[in-house]
Amino acid sequence: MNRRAFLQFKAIYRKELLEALRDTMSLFFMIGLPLIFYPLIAVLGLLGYNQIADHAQSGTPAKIAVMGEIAPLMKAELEAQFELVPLEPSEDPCAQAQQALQAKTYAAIAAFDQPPCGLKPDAENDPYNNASPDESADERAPLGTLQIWFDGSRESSSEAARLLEEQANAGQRALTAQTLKDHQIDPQWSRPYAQVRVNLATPNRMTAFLLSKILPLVLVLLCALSGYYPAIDMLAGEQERGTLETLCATPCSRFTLLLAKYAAVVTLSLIATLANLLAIALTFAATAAQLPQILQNLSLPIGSLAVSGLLLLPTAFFVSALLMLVAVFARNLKEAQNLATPAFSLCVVPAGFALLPWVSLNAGTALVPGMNITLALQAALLNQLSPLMALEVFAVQALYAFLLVQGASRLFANEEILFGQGLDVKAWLRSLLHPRAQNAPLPPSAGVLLFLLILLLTIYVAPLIPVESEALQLCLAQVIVVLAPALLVLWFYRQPFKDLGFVRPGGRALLGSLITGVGIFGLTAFIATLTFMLFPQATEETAPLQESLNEIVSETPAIATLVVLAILPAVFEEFAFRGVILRAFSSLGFGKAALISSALFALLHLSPYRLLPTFLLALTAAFVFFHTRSLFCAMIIHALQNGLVTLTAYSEALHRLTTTNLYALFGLSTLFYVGIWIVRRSGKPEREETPEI
Amino acid sequence: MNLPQTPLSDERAPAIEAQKLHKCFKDFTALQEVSFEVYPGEIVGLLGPNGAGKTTTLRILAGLLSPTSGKAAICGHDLSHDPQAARSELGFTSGGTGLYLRLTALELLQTFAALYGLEDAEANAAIEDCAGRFDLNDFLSKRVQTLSSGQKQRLNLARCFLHHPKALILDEPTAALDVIASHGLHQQIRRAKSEGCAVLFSTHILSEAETLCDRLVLLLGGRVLDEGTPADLCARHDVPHLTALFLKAAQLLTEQPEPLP
Repeated sequence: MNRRAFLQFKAIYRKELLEALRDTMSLFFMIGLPLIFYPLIAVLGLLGYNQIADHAQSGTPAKIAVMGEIAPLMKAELEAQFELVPLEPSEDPCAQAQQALQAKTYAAIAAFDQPPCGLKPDAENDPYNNASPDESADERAPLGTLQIWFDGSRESSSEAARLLEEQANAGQRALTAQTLKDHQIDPQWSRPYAQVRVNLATPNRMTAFLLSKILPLVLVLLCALSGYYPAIDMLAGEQERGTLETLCATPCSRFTLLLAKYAAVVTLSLIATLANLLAIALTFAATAAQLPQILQNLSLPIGSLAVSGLLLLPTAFFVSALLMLVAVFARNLKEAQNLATPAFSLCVVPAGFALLPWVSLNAGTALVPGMNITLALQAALLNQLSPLMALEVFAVQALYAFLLVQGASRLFANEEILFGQGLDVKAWLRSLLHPRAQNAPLPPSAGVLLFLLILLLTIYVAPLIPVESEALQLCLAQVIVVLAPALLVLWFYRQPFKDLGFVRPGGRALLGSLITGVGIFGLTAFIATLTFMLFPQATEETAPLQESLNEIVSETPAIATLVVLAILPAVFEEFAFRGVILRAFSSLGFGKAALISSALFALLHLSPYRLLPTFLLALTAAFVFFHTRSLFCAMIIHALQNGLVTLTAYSEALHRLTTTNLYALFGLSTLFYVGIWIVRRSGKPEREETPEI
Repeated sequence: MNLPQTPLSDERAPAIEAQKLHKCFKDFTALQEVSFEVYPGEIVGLLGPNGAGKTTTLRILAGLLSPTSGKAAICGHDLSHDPQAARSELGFTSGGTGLYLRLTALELLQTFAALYGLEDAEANAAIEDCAGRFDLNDFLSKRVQTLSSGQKQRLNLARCFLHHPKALILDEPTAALDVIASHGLHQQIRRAKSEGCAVLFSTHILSEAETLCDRLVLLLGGRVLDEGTPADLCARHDVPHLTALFLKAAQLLTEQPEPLP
């Protein structure tokens, strides 16, 4: 960004912030509301809690009806808690009890030696099953049966039944003790162990745990909500008020304009979220003394909250970008709201799913926007977020935000959308179904589409492929997950096959690629070894990969192994990533296209520890493809890299060399530069022939 | 695109140039072969009934829309090749232009000064200059929402003059103004003309066009029907005044729905 663009950026950014912060309504929603909302919730919650607690303490004891004959010791135990009312059973005690409970005459009924009522309890160890009335003579139940009847549709009745059960258990123990005493046995026998439950979690951890249940979703929601109004107001609102026209007539480029507005939305969204966090913390501090007993010892995990605050940055990036993309389409606020609501749900719904107990943060869920941040926030609060995982979530969100901003700036530059007749949705849909004419260059959307297809197939379909032999599974996975979607996208965008770069390389290009391939193996092995040294936990994560590699090596002939592990992935992945995705982004210029396609390639390996090596491999392949214009050269490099890794599984010595000896690997990686040098001299890329690459 | 150069009646280069502008929206043709120039120190009025293509023409010349074919240039900078340079020479405002209500007048001017690429010192000088010229000093520190419509109009115009534009494009600037405010605007337009600025504006008000403009361009159904001084136009079409010319043109349109020859 040059000086002038920076000046313009600053002016727009300042203007947007001034406007937003002077709008009483926005300001109230951003800062005022949270400062009122949380204390209010806390006060109401405490009031409610105290009322219930007071009622439990001072209120009259619950009325419990007793049917049948009750042992004196049991009666004493129950009387300590309840007001007992004897109830004479009629001919149909069940119906009688049901009526009485419905009429709320009693909170619950303790039925001694009555016929079974309602559905049979299915639990085997249910006391009733163990001692039904016809087994009353059985030694195990000398005193008969106790049924606790209650109205499950009434809160107070359920609660009474729970207390009654506890109290009855105490009665049971008293009776047992009495019996043992009568037989001159130490009552201790009935309870060989004195039992007590102790929570050893520190107050800090307890707070973190409680917060992790709800806070992540609340924060993601707040962040999204607080970006909502500014995002649509800055684009659709300006459009509606007619001010966008004058802005666009100044010598400020539309990209700068959009970027400044985007920065303003992100800032406002962060201010609002931080205001919310602050309000939560203040409320917590202010009400700490009045908190109920169980929460009394809690303390605020400041460190975890700070990490959470940091994680909100990429959330704001992403949500603001998504909302702006949508707002560009709209010509007024109403239209923008109609469009923004589904977009908003798109990031909030996955965030909700993240709270399901079996969903956890891993390399796969880290790719799902909304869900990844919620899970990362949860892990951060529990102090379980590894730095690499945090980095991956951060990178993924930033990448999505970047793509969205790119998309928004494209749309923003589209005059038809801003000042024309608006987007013709019908024509757009028609063009989707019958995509562009033959030979039209592949658009960036094709790259995003293929990435998403491969991602979805990797997560949902690849695990379903039947595992008969690992080798076969890998082959099938390559075809289904990589080749098939790539062909589908090519067909969909009517791309001729011959233009993809199936060009026979020249001698020098071939030589350069071979040397680069060996060199990149050295370089990635060097990085991998360094990673394992720095992050010992990485060994655990990559262990299954190493195991399945060893398994394939042991059960498959060597040639087949090389085909499965080295050649097939090289051919298919290069075809998809360099042949299709890199080409799709090439309208952005080679540098950006290579960076984006390589980042996507690295992300799909679903492991934070393999991000850097896979990224470098992809970048190298892209570079070599660009200079040689031959997809075969990229395939050679990829195949050599994979093949050499496979070879290390055959020889223990080689394996040790490539996983421990940093000096040897460093030496090997110098070949990389030699290879690149040769490739660069193999001929200038002829832009005329393939203008996209 | 190499289009034949229109022979220039004047030695000077035109500040605003429309060459065979053609604009289609989906299946609707808004402009066909619209060509005219505005020279420095000249006021040209763009006249035409609603839907004639006035706003589309002005938007193309302000770089907001790009023509389907043809060339639009400001001070020799082609808007499709070097839009930034072209817009740097241009001041643009439309009657419907809202101002940022929650900013103060000063903040508004500062924002636009920066957008026109003026550094702080330059910007301050330009704002001081414009504030004096458009009589803004009384309300510079007031929020725009508290200003009267006359004050807003002066501010709106001052905003276009910050960077000393060589070309001024005004889309129905007097549409929502009372007589006094319109008069003030006319004075400023004349002053800009005297300083060598080329002014192009569209209007519905024929008396305004008659008194203010050196030349008129008459648009009808997306085409230039005729152009010339008000007196020339009336004489050529054998009508006593512009209103009659306008009515005649409208009649022509209803009789001849096909594009004009």
